[in-house]
Amino acid sequence: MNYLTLSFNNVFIRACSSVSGPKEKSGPLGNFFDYSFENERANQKTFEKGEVEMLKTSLEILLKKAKLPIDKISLCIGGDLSNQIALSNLIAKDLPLSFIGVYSACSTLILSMNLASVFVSSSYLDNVLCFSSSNYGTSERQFRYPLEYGIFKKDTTTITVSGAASCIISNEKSRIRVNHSTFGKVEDVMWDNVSDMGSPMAYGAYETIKHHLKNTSSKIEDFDLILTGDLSTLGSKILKELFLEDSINLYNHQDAGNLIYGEDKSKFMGGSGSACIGLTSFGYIFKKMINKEYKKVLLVGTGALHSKTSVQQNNVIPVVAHAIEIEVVE
Amino acid sequence: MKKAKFIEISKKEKRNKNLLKDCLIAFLGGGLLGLLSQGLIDLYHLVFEVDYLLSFSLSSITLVLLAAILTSLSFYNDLGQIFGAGLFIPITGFSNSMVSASIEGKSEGLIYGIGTNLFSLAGSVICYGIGTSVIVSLIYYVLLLMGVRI
Repeated sequence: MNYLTLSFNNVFIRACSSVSGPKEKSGPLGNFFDYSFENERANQKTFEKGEVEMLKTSLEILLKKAKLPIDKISLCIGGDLSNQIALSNLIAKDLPLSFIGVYSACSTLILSMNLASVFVSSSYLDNVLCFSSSNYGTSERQFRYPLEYGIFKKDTTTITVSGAASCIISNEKSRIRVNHSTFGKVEDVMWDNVSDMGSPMAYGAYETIKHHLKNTSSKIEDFDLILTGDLSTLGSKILKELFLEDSINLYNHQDAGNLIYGEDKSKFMGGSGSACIGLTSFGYIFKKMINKEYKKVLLVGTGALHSKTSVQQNNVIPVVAHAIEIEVVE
Repeated sequence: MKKAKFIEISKKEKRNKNLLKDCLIAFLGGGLLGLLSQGLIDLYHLVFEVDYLLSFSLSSITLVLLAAILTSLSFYNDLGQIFGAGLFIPITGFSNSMVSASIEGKSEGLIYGIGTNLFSLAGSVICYGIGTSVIVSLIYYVLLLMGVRI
């Protein structure tokens, strides 16, 4: 099976920003985010407008942190979880940049960063902006039920992270370098349970990590951390079991969805959504990398590619995982 | 084959550890709701001296209103998470499905938002509820014609 892995030597993450909602702020990583809104609607009338507002705030903080005028950026790549990625386009219309909208469910951010790395590495572009957002309010209605609907949520449920994350991929040297990108293949594990997305995505993550290691001739021990996007407690367990089958101990794995909400039982099996890995890595992991706690990290965004209609028509839920390998440089 | 292994592992993990506990709590929740309903019937009939049959309807209407208020105050989904089918199956669940769908649709306006979404979840209940009642009535009618007294 062909998983595309590309190697880079002149691609860096110049700056990044993370903006969260209230329930992420009250989680264990709350103090690491650049900014947190006090409500899910970000003081707007609708959840959708709130998600756009979070994204806008994230981009403003990003440009300030990057100390880069926007005309030095050549392209913007991003996406979200809303129908036809409408919310990303509501932000893109206000940016003086060419825009590529991408959708890969909760792995959208990592896919955007992978694509940006290709543009920068091939010397076509100097700076590329990447973003992704998700919101509990907009996702629940999109994929599940109304927020106030009193249906019993199964214990394998994950809770969509509200927030926005953005970064600038650049050819100018900075502390965090992008070494490799692996583009995932869409996998089918004959899954149809929408109340448990972590389990099937664990298989997607397994395949992508395995192929990434093979294509880059590296081993699990080469990484200080393998961070998956939103596998949930159950999915993380399954991922470890899958590697154990190959006699590999995945001791350095953590899941962004588990980190962001900690042991909070009201969040069921952890966080999900395209902002989940973004907030956790940009807000928390990158700071730890700069502090030299981690040197080499593999970020694995995981996505379940379904719509309400496709599931109601009894189709399977395909899964995908994209990976980006980053390393601290002096 | 790894995929087969994954399916095996995920099947092993797929179980509801709390099934018995959840069922008992749902049973208890539904029972308490029934108790509350009976209390309301007695209240209307015995205290306010409402006609006995009318007090049944009044009791249901009160519960529908109560569920609608609890939904609007964002309490019902928390109760639903505790009592599950105990609150989901009775008439309070019906009320909750309509109110929650209309709250959700508010941002799309009166026509395409609230009006269209109001029955998005409850529509099935009405559709098949009326359908079933027609079939049951037909069977009853045929039995009556055959001289069967129920």
